[in-house]
Parts: sequence; structure tokens; C-alpha cells
Amino acid sequence: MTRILLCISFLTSILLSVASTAQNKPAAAKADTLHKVAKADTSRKAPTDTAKIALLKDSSWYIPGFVRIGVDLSRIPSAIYYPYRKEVTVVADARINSNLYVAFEGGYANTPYSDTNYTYKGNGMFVTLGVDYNFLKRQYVTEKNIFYAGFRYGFSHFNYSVPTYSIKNTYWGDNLAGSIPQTAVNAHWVELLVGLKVEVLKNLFMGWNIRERILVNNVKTDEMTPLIIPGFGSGSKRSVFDVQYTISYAIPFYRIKEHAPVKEVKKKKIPKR
Amino acid sequence: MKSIYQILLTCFIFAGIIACENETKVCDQTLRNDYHTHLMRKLTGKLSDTIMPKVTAYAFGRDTIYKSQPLSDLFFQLSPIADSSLFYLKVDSSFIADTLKIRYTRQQHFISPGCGFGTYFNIDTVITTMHTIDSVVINNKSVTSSNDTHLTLYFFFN
Repeated sequence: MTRILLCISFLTSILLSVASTAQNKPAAAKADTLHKVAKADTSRKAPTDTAKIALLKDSSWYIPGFVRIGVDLSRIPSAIYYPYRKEVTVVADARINSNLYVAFEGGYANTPYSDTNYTYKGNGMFVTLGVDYNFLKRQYVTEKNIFYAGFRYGFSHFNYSVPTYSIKNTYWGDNLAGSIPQTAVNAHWVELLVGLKVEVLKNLFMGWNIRERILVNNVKTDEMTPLIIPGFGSGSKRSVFDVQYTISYAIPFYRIKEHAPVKEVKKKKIPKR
Repeated sequence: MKSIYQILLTCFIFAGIIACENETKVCDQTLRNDYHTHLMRKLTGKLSDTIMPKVTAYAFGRDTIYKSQPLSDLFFQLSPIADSSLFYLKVDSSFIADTLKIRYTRQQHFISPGCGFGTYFNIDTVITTMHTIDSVVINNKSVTSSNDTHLTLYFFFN
């Protein structure tokens, strides 16, 4: 447990220090011509009502659209400490407007387990699809750092089998041996998550998130409960907490047009004399 | 802003610890599902709980479970590889012993990742000799834990 805590605090401190450094960088100093144009537009004074309308029409600019693809690093220590949980998770998200991202995760899990009571073999794939909403106020137009909350729907198709198990009885002195043949199962779940993604180098992101998963369907049978549901976690629980540390790369190949928020211009009240 | 980060960090570490739980290391459930038998006395039509003074019990061909002990409840382990178990039961050294044959069906099931597999029993029939036993009542056919009373034995002696 101490090693786990040390591992978590080490990774967290790295991520947070990197995050804070990234936040402090004066990234607005970049040559951002679009942003300058927008600034110039909004700083125009509007002497009359007609001028105001013209200003609103012109106040739009492009923000970078991108697809961010990465992997979940938390599966590496997980596989070291818990050898029966071998999982690879690919994460991806794409910006669809200034604060909304469509998110995808997919992966493969292998669950080999053996002890004196039983051996277990499981493997399967999973996908999740959902959206993330960014709550972080942008400091500059091209900023891609996000602090987000999201929702996912998850689906997993996996197989498991128990090649051998034994039931010991101390009184009768009998060892009952048995096996469970390969069984295919589908699992469905929903997830709620909150996390950070920070640009540590140009287009390279590191981030973490915490999430709660809630299983929708039942995967247990009278005979057996799967040890691990790929992408979900423990097969014996209806809801699980999980964490992800991600490293991802953004491929910016499109732009999204953003309009200046419409603000009501309040007329100054002239006090009557 | 700093306090928000502190709250997030605390939540994150807490969640990390929960997420790192290794279920295969801990067996957090009892593996015992003994056949719980309660003893009662039938005296002039009146039923009363009783403590039998010198109970001796064992399965035929196996070790003694109880040897001349004062008991009101007995716990028998049923055989996981046979469909019936036969027990010797003597409730007092001066009385003639009875035999108790319990017939059942078995079902193997997964208890938990840490505990492995176990056997559930579903009682079909209980057959006894009637030297000291007056009657039997099957209270619960399903033997999944030792907490429930599965069988009550009524004795008719004074």
C-alpha cells in the first residue's frame, strides 16, 4: 500500500507541476494573428447603433480544432502490481466547438490468474463513447488546456473460462475439482468523469481524470462471476472508481470558427435633474 | 484556486487508492456453509429448546465432530463429492444412538476472487432412526451459510 501511495503521489506531483508550469507560460505571446485581428475588432469603439451591429458580425475568429490521441499510462503500474490485470487503453478526443469534445476510448484486456484454488483466463475488448465539457476559461485563443467533466457509455465483449478449480473440505478430506468452459459475455456501463489535460509541449498533452463507472447489465451467473470486465474493472461490483493518467498528442488538422459572445450593451442612465 | 487544486488532489489520491484494490488477495467472505441443526425436546406435547448433556456426533468413517459435549445446536459439514452424508448422533451417553442421513443436490459456485469456489447444497430428504428422535422438520432446504437453522430435531425422552 505504501508503494502504491508513493507511486500515486509521485505521478500526481509530476503532472501538477507540469500543469502549473504550462499555465504560467505566457503563451499569448505567440504570433497569433487571428487573435490579434479579433482583438482589434472588439476594441473598436461603437459610436452609433449601426456600428454596433457591424461589430458583432465581424467578431469571429478561428480556434484550433484537433484530434487528440493517446494512451492511458495508469495501466502500466496496474499491470505490475496486479499481474492479472493486463490492459491497454487508447484514448482519443476531438474538439467540436470551443468547449465541447467528443471522446472515445478503446482497448484490450487480458486476465490471466492462477492461485491454489483456481485458474482463470479472460480476454476481451471494450469501447467507450461520450462527450467532455471544458470548464477552464481560456487565457488565449489557441489555448488547448482543459479542465473537464464528461460522460461515457461503455461496451465490452469478452470471454472467460476457468480451466481448473478445486474445493477443499477439511472434514471430509475431499478435494473437488472442476472447470467452467469458455463463456462469452457483453457488458454495458455508463461513466461520469472529471479531469485535466495540459499541453506540456507543443501538441503534447498529459492529464489525469477520476471516474465512476456504473454497470448497467448483469454479468454474473449462478456458477461464476468474471474477475475483470475489460474497460470497466471488477466484475463483482456494480460500480467502480478508477483513475487514468494519459499522455496524448493533438493533431490539429481543422479549425473551428468561434463567434464573440453577444453582450448586451446597457445604456447609461442619465440622471434627471 | 490553490484550495481547488488541493481538493482535487485529495479526491484523486483517495480514488487512486480505491481503484488499486486487489480483490484476489483477500477472502472477505465465510466459506463455511455447515448444516445447522437445532435440538428441541418434546415433553407431554410441549416443545422446548434444550441443551443435550453429552452429544457425540460424527460422519461414518470420519473424525468425531462432537465428543460428549453439552449442545443445543449442531453444525455438520456435508460431503462436497457425494449426494448424501450419513452421521452418527448420540445425545446422551446412556441413550441409544441415532443415525441421520441427509440427501441433497450440490451446486458449485464462485464465492469471490479471493476465496475461490464453494459448494451450495439443496436438501432433498432427511432420514433418521427413531431411537431418541421423535420427528424432524426441515426449516430451510438451501444451505448457503451456517447462519440459518436448516433442520430441527425433536426428541421425546424426559
